[in-house]
Amino acid sequence: MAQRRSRIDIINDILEAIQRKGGKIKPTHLMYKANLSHKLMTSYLEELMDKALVEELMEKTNKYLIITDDGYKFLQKFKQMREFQESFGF
Amino acid sequence: MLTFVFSPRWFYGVDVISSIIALVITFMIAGFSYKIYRFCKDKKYKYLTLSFITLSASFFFKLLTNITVYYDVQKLSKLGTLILEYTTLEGSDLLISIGFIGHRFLFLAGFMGLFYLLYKHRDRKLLIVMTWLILLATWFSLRNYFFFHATAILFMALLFWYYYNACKDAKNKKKKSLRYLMFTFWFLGISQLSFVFVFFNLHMYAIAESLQLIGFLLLLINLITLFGKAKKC
Repeated sequence: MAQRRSRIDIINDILEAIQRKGGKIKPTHLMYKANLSHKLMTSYLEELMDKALVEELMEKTNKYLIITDDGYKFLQKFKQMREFQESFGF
Repeated sequence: MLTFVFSPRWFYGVDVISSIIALVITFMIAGFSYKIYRFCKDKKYKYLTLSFITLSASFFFKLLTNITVYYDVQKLSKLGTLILEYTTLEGSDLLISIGFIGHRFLFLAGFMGLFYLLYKHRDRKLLIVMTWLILLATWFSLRNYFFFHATAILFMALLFWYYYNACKDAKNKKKKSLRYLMFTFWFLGISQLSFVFVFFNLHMYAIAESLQLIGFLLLLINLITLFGKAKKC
């Protein structure tokens, strides 16, 4: 059985999903890629936008989510954390 | 002149360098761990930082004893018209005692912390028992240094065993860094064992210090590899 994701794991999954789509993604696609319910995704997106890790963009009638520079920095720090974890056997 | 040195004369000062290197390496790991803690707020990294800071502090205390013991203090005393110049270690006995106790307790506490973090069945009662064990080991080591080294060997063996099992279970990508850690504790354990035999042969001190240095250098290699991977991210 897969381990339950922590808060920081979910944030990473969201940002990685956006990054993999070239930095821009539709909310519905994000929900499937990050494997989140709509309610959960909405609450995390609120937090990410508050922290300026993600921004909203309106193109014609479509809403997109864009990863910011701070969002990329977060991804980098998360990878460092994972490397450290693996290096020390946590 | 009082001598508390268990080192061959040709090794004087070399163990100071070894302690400085160990202090720097443990401090670097503590710093990096703290950085990770600030990022993810996971208490695990806070305790890891504490463990390595404790180890750093233990080497700082060791440096205090080494420097105090190795360097004579020149004193001048006036007796009427006579001026006496003499060499003494007066006033440094307290520093040596503090250094010894500080080094031994903090060294054991650091590795105890590390072991407790990695151990699956964590329990406060276990922590209390282990803290009591290291307090006893520190106290009795003032009479016989064997107690300190035997306790240290126990912790090194447990940590070596943890990483040995981790290596067996790990995938190839993780194996290399876990193997470095496994050998780190292998060398640290053997060095502690060598310290036990210093009583019989002073040269064992040099061997023990060298093995300890190798152990910490392996830890440094692991850290440098980690920094290299972190920069690529």
